[in-house]
Amino acid sequence: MASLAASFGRGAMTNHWRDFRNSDAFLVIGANPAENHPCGWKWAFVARDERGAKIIHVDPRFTRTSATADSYLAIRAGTDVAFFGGLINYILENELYHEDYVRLHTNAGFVVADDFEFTDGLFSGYDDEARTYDTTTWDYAHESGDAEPTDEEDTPGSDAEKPADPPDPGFAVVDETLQDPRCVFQLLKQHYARYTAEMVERVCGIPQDKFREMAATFGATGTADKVGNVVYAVGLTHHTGGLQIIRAAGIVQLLLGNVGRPGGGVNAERGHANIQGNTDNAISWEILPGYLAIPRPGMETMADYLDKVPAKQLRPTSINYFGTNYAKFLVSTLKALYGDAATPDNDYAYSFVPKPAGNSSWLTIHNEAREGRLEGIIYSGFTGVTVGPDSNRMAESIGKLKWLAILDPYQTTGSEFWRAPGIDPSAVQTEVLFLPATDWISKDGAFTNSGRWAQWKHKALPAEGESRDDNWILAQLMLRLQALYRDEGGAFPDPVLAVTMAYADPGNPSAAEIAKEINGKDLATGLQLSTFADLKDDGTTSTGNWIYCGSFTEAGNQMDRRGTDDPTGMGYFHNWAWSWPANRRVLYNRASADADGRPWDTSRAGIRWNGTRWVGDVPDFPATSTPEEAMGAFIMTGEGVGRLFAPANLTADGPFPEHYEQTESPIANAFSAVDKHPVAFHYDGVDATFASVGDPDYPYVATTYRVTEHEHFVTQHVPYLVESMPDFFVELPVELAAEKGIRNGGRVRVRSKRGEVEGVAVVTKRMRPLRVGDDKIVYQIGIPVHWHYESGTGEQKDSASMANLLTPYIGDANVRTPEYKGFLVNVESA
Amino acid sequence: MTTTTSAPSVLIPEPQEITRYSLVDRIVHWGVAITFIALMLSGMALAYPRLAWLSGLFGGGQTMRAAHPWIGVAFTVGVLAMLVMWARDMRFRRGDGEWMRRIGRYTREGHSGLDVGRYNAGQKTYYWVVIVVSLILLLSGIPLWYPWMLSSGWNQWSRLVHHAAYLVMVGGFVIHVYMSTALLPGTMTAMTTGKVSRRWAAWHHPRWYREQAGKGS
Amino acid sequence: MSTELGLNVRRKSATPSSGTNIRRDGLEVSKIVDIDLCIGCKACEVACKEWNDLAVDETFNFGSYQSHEDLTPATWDLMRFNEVDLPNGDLAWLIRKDSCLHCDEPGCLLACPAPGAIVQYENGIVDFDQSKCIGCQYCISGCPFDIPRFDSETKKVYKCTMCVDRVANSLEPACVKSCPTGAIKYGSRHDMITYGEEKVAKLQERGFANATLYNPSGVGGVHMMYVVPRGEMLGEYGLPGDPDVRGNTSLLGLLRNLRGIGAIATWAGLIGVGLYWLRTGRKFPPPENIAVADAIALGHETEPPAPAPDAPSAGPRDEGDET
Repeated sequence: MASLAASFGRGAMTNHWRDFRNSDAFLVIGANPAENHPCGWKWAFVARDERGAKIIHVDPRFTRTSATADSYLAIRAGTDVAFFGGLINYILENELYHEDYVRLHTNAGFVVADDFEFTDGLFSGYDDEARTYDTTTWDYAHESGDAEPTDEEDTPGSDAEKPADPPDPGFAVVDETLQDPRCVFQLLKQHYARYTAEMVERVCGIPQDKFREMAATFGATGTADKVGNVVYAVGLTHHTGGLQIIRAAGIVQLLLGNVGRPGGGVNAERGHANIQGNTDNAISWEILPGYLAIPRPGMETMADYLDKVPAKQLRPTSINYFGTNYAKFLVSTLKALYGDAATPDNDYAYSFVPKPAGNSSWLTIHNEAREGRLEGIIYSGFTGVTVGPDSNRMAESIGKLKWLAILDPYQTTGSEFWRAPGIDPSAVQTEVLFLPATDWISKDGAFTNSGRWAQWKHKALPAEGESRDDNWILAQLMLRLQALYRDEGGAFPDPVLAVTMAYADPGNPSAAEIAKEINGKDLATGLQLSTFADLKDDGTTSTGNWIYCGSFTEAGNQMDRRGTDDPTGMGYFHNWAWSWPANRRVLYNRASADADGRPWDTSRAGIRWNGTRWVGDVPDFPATSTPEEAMGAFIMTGEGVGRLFAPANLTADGPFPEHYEQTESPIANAFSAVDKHPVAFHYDGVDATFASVGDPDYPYVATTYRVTEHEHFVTQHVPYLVESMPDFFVELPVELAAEKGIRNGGRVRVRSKRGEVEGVAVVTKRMRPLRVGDDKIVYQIGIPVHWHYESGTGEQKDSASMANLLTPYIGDANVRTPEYKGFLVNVESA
Repeated sequence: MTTTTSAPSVLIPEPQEITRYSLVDRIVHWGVAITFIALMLSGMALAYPRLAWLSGLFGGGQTMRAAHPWIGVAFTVGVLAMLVMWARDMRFRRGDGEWMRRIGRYTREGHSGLDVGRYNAGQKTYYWVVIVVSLILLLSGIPLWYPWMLSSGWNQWSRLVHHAAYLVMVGGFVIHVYMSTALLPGTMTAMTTGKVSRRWAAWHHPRWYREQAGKGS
Repeated sequence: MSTELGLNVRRKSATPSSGTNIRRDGLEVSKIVDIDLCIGCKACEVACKEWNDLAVDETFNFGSYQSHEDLTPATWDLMRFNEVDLPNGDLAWLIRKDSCLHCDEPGCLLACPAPGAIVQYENGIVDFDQSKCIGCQYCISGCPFDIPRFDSETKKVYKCTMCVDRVANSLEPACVKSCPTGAIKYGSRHDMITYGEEKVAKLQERGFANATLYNPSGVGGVHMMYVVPRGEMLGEYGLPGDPDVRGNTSLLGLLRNLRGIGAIATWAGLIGVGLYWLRTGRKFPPPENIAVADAIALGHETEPPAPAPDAPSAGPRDEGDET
């Protein structure tokens, strides 16, 4: 999600499921929506039936999405940047980009500072030793301090949405003609000139003619009357260069003018009913709720923090809404967390917030356990052993903990790891505490779907056995911790003791109470707030998550609404549930209109200027800011526009996406001398567990995935679903099976340098051998993740292999998402 | 069973009746007959919706469906016994062709005027038809017994063959019963007491009669 | 399944004149499976088992995404998968929901000898009443789509009921309700045919020149139609190109004809025999002495002279002696 923020300002699917109906073309890559998102995906079929939309599927495996797509391209796993680079190049060379849009809504004209360079696979500022970039050279050229005067005329919008004074380094230099050789547009052309169709064929294994045919089809949406949609899922994110792959998708969509428009966008399909809600509410270690950055050492006061974190306004026409209002969101969040303990005098208890120096991704946490620096872990709806990567390493790591607490409805590989097949329970010292938690159907709450719609659901079944809501478990834990700190003291008890537990029953808060707390209130009146525009930085408002402000107002729980009226006919359904932010359905929708406020396509208006205000969807823009003011459509960025070039520290690995091979790759990088991702983090000792480039012992590429019959690991407890997809299996090409004497339906063993699995061989034409480089044939193998040693039910109970026994312990350079989608293995008949 | 009481005592005494079938012969015949009738009735119930009520004779459709194949097995055993016991006498011989040519006369007069042995060519034909068609019924019946073991095409062909074979059997059966009860007096006792009159034997099976008379002297 | 749910009966197996329709409602319902929209997710398969509370079959992966190799007595709906090479070198992964098509002329019902074991409702649904099923499995051989399955435990045959218990209560079948993409639609037969025809036209525009609405006339049309994008691949989808239970040359037709011929022949034979008997009466042999004399005479004609057996002298004629 960080990648979408780097391109557009927010880390979320730009459009929503229902909006797929408005698309003319779908480029589905690294996703299998027909299998994994069938309910939403139906709208793509509606678009095809109603407007003749074309569905293109690009994936290492021919899946049920391919079966129902109009065309399918088999791609070598992990070469998506090369693919998108080729597409960017094709669009630029053939001038298929939406020129007016590019000029108006992207940073194409921004001039880049002279010291930014790209040489043979590396950007300027690379530190070979530390394997990191100093990102300071990745910047725009700035006007000298007192550049052009800002427009001081008061806008009719709220104060909060008024542009601020020019920032410290001055506004960015922009060449409206796009001719400056140092402007983003020219640098982009230069960077992607190397990504020819020939190179795509060499690297991705996609025949040139097929690639060009695809590029022409999707490139045809770079006009005002056509809209294309890039749909992706974890097939793009689960790579060391995952963030850059999605950045590349964003660049394609900005060039084609498809962002902010109904039917367009870069649409992340989230893998779990509520993964978007989790992310919004800070499941990741590096953020506070609502994507506020976690403070770092060196940000000792809130002033330090506010100086370093929020985006600076880079153009006079940039609203820079997030950067401008950061303080209001942070202070209100602190008020929700610490209540009365947060006062103006103590910087609103800013000092209570941890300021971690290191990384706390789950790979790092488990590595800490492995190295004996961690006593215990609480797993809530998580099981490291099956989730991986490198399940053996994961099991070893948690085996070094003193205790492991599991909050889950069912026993998991985490709760049972100490008696897993091949493990001697007496040798495991970890104490495992199993706290049975209710599952989703036995509690109230909201799911936020990929399209950011928070939909309230009601408890449908009584809790089973002794299971308790997570609310109860966590509140009880908090109350007992507070009691312990109160009774026994501690090094720094204040942050724990100050946490507010202002619920009717502090020991068992209801989901509705928590939802109200997340929404936030006016502390003076005690009334629920109805918009984050009302949040203040003076301690008079609170919010648990500013982007959800408006979800539970004085008018009630907006997430529980089920209105089906659709006055615009565009499928916004504003009275159905509630979507963040501010019930907007399409993000950046100002970009759906031209400079005059007219929709690019009047038959598919996002918002339009009616002479006095913006109407249509809830505008992602000051509602009364006139087109003449020419404010930027991307209100969350300092630039006010979408970023083809992602400057400074928005990413850790480069302003332009560049192709590198996977950590384990059958061939060397054809684009540069840098084979593997230059800033991917390598934990101590893991390098020995990686196969080398073209390793003869591990000649085949494997990728992991999910099938529609199962939901991660939990449906192994549902008899009908086990019946419908019963066994762990491995998909492999007919040609490879013939070479190895593997029979369809027989048993196959797959080994990586880290472990091995055994399952049923599904020998299939759907896994196509690819021709890459100089006529090298690459075989790819598919391994689904759903099985484990707690698999099956009743008679079908079965200790099955786990896909993640094979995967490498390495993550994305920015957010450390593991590289599940491409690694090397060998296979043999078992 | 009457004898001519007025017959002169000077006549050489000889049995008035000649044994045609042993007890075992008759048991086998009636076993086959009863199982056949059961098969015919249950088969008709299975084949003709309008005769479904016949299943009541067998304790309902389910029982009938379960029983029919097993009765078929018993029937087959009986037919095999007939094959073993009677095949020798049923071999076609010289003269059978002539009998066949005279079938029109036989039909009109109930007599061929030929020197027929134990069995005439018509009886032999019926015998072999029963043997062969029973085998066909058995073979086509097995797929119907366990239909899930074969594809539905197989089963449809089986049904067709089974039904055609049934029709042949029923045709023969009607003629057989008619001739042995209504048409030719003196025949039935062969399968009841096992004996026939000399008059019957000499008329219908003259050669066999002479052989038997020779034995009896 | 076993109740008639207040629905009008069009006909019942082995029960002539079983129709009950006196009411006005003649609405025929139908499902239609738009294969173009089907993603093979098996939601229908599972929903079918859920609603009908069917036993869990112990399955195993046999080298396919298909859950079961075939329909079973407890699996009435099965997604079938088939990988087919296309002439242009691309691959098609054909996926078809396989379950009862609810023929208008149901081969199963026509073949069934058990009165009332198969019921066709006025709305077109063909349902089995297992309490009346005799387990003969003629329905299996009667079905051109190979749908009914025999359970060797209960000795009965089972298949999709089109959720007749839901339909009778104005609900759509469970498979329809569960379908996430709307590939399985349900409504009046007329509306479904309209949908199918329109969709086929769209598919033809999209380049599927042979797209077709599968509603075979040889079974009188069906109440679960398919929109088949690749109409040239019916066989690969596992659909008979020209199923026929009505034609006189179909196997079922031949059987039906044979049964007719058999019935006529049986009656004709019985009547013929009766008439023959009335005309000719019984054929008594001549008196014993004549019969014996004949026999002896025949012996002289055909055999070398041998000591003649002592023929009984001609006794009194005894016309009644036949025993």
